[in-house]
Amino acid sequence: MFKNNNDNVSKNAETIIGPSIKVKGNFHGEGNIVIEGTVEGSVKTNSFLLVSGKAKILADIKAKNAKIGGEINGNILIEGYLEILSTAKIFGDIEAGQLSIEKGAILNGKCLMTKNNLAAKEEKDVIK
Amino acid sequence: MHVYIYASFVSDAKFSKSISKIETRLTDLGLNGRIIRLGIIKSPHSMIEDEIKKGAKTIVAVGDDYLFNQIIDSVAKISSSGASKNIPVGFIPVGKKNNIISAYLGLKHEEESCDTISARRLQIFDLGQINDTRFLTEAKISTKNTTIEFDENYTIEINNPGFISIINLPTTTILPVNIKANPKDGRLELYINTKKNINFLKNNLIDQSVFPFNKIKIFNLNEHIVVDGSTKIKCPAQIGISKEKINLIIGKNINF
Repeated sequence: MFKNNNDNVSKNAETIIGPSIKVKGNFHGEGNIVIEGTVEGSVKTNSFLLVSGKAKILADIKAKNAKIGGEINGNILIEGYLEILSTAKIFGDIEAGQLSIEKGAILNGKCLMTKNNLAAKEEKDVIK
Repeated sequence: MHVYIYASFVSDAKFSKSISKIETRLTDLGLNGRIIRLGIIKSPHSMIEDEIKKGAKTIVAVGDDYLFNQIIDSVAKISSSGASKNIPVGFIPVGKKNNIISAYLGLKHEEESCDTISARRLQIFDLGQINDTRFLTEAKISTKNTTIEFDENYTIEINNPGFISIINLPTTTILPVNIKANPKDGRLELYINTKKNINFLKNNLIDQSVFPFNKIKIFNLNEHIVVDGSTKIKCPAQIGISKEKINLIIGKNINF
């Protein structure tokens, strides 16, 4: 199921970190990133980040949008929409414009909705 | 004037018919030029440099991928020194051994490729550069004991056996669906393919990784990197996109 949901993302990925890969350091990309392996350091992209169910990340994450199904030890900052899947284990604070958390996900940390996005949403509601 | 560089192996008797047909066809097409026959140890670099100074307008490799790679490297180096820019490079593949690149450039074998030289369809391609050697297609090394450093920002370790390809123009490496390496986009792709032994009797699980990059360093104490399927380069190796490009004569219906 996880794989099917993410087919489109994988197809548009510019960087794929496979299950046998361990990245150490500041991993900064510009296109969509798929992480199936291990990352230690920091992860940053201006686009979409997909963290698969078997991925392990010991890093702070910054991305435009993200879907997370793996284990993350670090803070997550998402400008737009953050989708946390049931397989996710997150040990750190999260900050996002929009958020959904599937039943079964583990989240140990603070959760903050970004002010700019809240203001934008309220503005939209007023216009409606 | 066309300058034809013959690989040393084409002087072997088994290629005499092919060479004779190539020369006849080139004469028929009015493409006669100067012929340089390389010895086994001779590098074509200084000869190409001399011919360009004398006014050569096209350099044509007559041989295999190894010779084609040497000529591309030499022409790129000469153009980097400012001697001459964008000199077209053609390729007449001879023999079946070590001749993979031609197929990806739409070139036919032996005398049939003379018509491609005559048609002179030119396209400018990026080149990869590994230490001081340029390459058109791919550079490969085993994952065993290999570590890779990206732009001095991060390193990667690979936990399973497999191979690593640095790709400009993909030939032998099949990339995952929808990931395209383009030899005109000004960057290279690093592709890693590993196999994990799940069960001896069942198929192994293949896992793939792709990283676009501008500059990397590859470290391996034991293994060499094989460039364009033929030239061996020692590690540590610095790899990136070359400042120089190459102007190639290619076959019909080839678009990147």
